[in-house]
Amino acid sequence: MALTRLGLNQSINLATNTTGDLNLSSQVTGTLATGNGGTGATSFAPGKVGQVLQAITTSGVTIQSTSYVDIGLSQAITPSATSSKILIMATVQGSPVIATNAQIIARYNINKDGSTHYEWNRAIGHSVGVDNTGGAGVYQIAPLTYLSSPNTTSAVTYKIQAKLVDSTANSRTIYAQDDSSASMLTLMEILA
Amino acid sequence: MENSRKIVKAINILKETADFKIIGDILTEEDFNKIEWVVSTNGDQAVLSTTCPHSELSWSAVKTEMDKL
Repeated sequence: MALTRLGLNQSINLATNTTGDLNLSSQVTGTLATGNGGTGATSFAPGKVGQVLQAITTSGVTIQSTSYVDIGLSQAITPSATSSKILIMATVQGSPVIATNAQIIARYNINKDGSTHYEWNRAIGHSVGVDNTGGAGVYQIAPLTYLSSPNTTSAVTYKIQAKLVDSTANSRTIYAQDDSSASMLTLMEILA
Repeated sequence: MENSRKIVKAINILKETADFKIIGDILTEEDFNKIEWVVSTNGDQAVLSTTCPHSELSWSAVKTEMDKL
């Protein structure tokens, strides 16, 4: 078998200059440089998603409060490492309703183990009155996404909460999961 | 008017400043007794109790107002 020693900057075209099989796991070493289309990496890291959990509720909750209350959407997760992050993705249905022609704004919050973790000051609302004597609603869905760093391997519980930004006057009310519409909370552990 | 709207209006007629959380529909006194009332706050978190702090808000009074709507 003829052997050719390659000089600097010479290459072998595996598609046209070779025959037989090349065992990539035993016969190839080294790193394919980024300049040649490689990653420069000498090893490959496995996937980064550790676990995915989801909670869904369609149970209606009526809220008339200027301090945070649960809307009935909660999910616990136990990270596998302290370096993991938790990607929180929620889709929260709610109808802000007011009895007179004024403004209503609802604030949403991701609660972590009983404390406010991240809040959306203007989550849903409207500034045109909808008379709730007619039973009307302004059906809205808020997508909430946040990357949490719990720094623990103990169970962590995330909950979605809501409250009114202004007063409860004029029958300002939030109807979460109005007419049994679904809200959902998804937790994804992202490994370091 | 659906039940969830009706009870809010009835409560607000009797006590406009009442803060509360209701899960599901309120059809009976047993349901009414499950309403969680905001009795205080802890930071930005509501402290809830099923014991209503407002004497005006009995089941019979709320039911009477609901039946008018």
